[in-house]
Amino acid sequence: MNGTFADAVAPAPPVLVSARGLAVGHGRQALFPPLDAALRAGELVCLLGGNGAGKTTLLKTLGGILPPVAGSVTVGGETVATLAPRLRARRIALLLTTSQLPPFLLGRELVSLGRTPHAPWLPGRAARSHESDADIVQRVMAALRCEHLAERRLGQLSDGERQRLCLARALAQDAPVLLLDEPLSHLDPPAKAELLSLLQEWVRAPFPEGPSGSTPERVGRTVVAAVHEVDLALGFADRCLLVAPGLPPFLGTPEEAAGEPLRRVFPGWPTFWDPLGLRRGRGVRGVGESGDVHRAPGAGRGGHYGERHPGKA
Amino acid sequence: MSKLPFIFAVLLLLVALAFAIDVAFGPVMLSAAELVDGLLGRGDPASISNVILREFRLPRAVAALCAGAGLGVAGFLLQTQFRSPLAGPTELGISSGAALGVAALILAEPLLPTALLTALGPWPVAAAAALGAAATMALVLVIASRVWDSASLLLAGLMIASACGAVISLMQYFSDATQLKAYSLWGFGGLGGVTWPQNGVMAVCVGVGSLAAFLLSRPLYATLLGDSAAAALGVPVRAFRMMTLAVASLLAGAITAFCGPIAFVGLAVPHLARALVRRSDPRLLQPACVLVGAALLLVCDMLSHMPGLGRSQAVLPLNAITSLFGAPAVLYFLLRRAGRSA
Repeated sequence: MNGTFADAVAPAPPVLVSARGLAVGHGRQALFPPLDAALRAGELVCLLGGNGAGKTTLLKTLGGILPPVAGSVTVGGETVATLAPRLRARRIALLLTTSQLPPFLLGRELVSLGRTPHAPWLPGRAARSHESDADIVQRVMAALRCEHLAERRLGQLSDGERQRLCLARALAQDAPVLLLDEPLSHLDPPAKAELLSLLQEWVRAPFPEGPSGSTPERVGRTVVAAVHEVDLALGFADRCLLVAPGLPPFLGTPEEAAGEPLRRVFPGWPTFWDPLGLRRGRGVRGVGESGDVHRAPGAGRGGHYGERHPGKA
Repeated sequence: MSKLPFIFAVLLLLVALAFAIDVAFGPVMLSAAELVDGLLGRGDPASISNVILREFRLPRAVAALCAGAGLGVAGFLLQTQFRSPLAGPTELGISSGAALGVAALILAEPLLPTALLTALGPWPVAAAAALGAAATMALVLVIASRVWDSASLLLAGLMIASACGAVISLMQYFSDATQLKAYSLWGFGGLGGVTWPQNGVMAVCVGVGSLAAFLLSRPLYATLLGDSAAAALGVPVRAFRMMTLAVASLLAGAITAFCGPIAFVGLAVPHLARALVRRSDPRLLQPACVLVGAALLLVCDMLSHMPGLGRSQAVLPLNAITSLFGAPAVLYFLLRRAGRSA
């Protein structure tokens, strides 16, 4: 890549994750109308929505550990529902929020669990891959600056430190698709921005890795991260996916999402608040210059969002 | 990491030493020469020392070795699968099921032909215990196929255990003194009555179970993070849980059938092994559980016949010893760990 011409003629990156008529929920009741989305390699997608909007349910369904109510998900052309569990885990790394991690586990042990889908289950065949597993664990721990936690027990760490290790675990899974549920929780404000910028780099880095030319397509990864930090999401994401109970999901660039769609999902969202100036940096406009707060039509079912953020309005 | 070979070497040595001491001492004092002759198969096979070694001490020590190793692995499997430090064969109702089987047999004994029972020797008790354990495990497995989370399943196991306990209490209420004593003796747990053929069956079950458990190490490791996280790491959670439960019940069922319900070992051994190895990888912890379990039960067995040493046949109930000496050991390691992390 050495110029704008190359960029201009470069084909669009391939679609890695594709949802067709995807309805999600527990049981038969879908949480919101079906989602049709094509997420490309090299994209960082932030999933936004209030508490109980169905972000985790959507991530679990995209990740293949929860069956869809209707529709299907494909990753790299393969239907997730029919993939063998280990194969699926090599394609999709899904990090869920966990309240209970075993306190006796060492930091390095937690991160190395991310290698589970790649390691042979039968002992004895691991000899060759074992070293490279350790290398990958080392690399992601260095990237997330948590090497100093390697020999500490999880029970001795702060929530933020544990969160870093959990993220390292997901990165160590080394999958083309990374689905993260609230990866920024417990992190301090600079670390949140740092992590999002790391994810930006991560999605664009050539993947699969290895010597150039060894694989025909080195296209990058796709990350979908459910976050509550709307400003950071608008600042860092390539696209935003907005969900709310009963409302059709919205997928668009931060610029498109920042206006009416965001106010539909968060009816009480203050439209003028931008302490880090992140949106200005991207030239984002339209997030309510007027500063008005109003309820979108049809917000009756989702209207509770306004009540949950009364102080910010 | 470098300490691990040393720890395993010490554990192996400990098991060998405990085995040797367990064989060497008993109600009848044998000289060193008699012991060596007996072990090497020299001398008169009908001599008292040889008979004692061949028919009593060795089967007893081998039973302790197998039962300790098997219970350690079963406890480790269940504690990891349920992510609960309180899980064990007893807590999941496996031992209670076996106890129910034996209680039912003892209560029904007057109704069965005496000649048949005499001819069968100790096998009916073992069969009743194995059947009871298998029946409760089948029930737990049926529940496991319908219940998603491990905590509910553990609770279901506890409910089955208490239901079995209640039925046993009712049976005891309606049984006479002889039957009560017979059941109580079995309930104390003991390695004394285990014969060579029974040892063979137990060794095969423990060997197969431990090997299967070792092969399940990888997914078992991932299960530590919880069912959803394990599923996300590519573990077929339900199928895997079925396999773990089946292996644990094979181990615990076979051992309970021959040795009676041995309390505490399954619960304590994983904690002791973890405190020693200080790693969570099942590929390291499981072999450690095998060694710690075997050593612990050998030492407990040794202690149980200490009072009768050189004098009488007096043997203390094994369950009393396992709990009496195992509980302080676990407490010590817990407190030491708490002190280190504070």
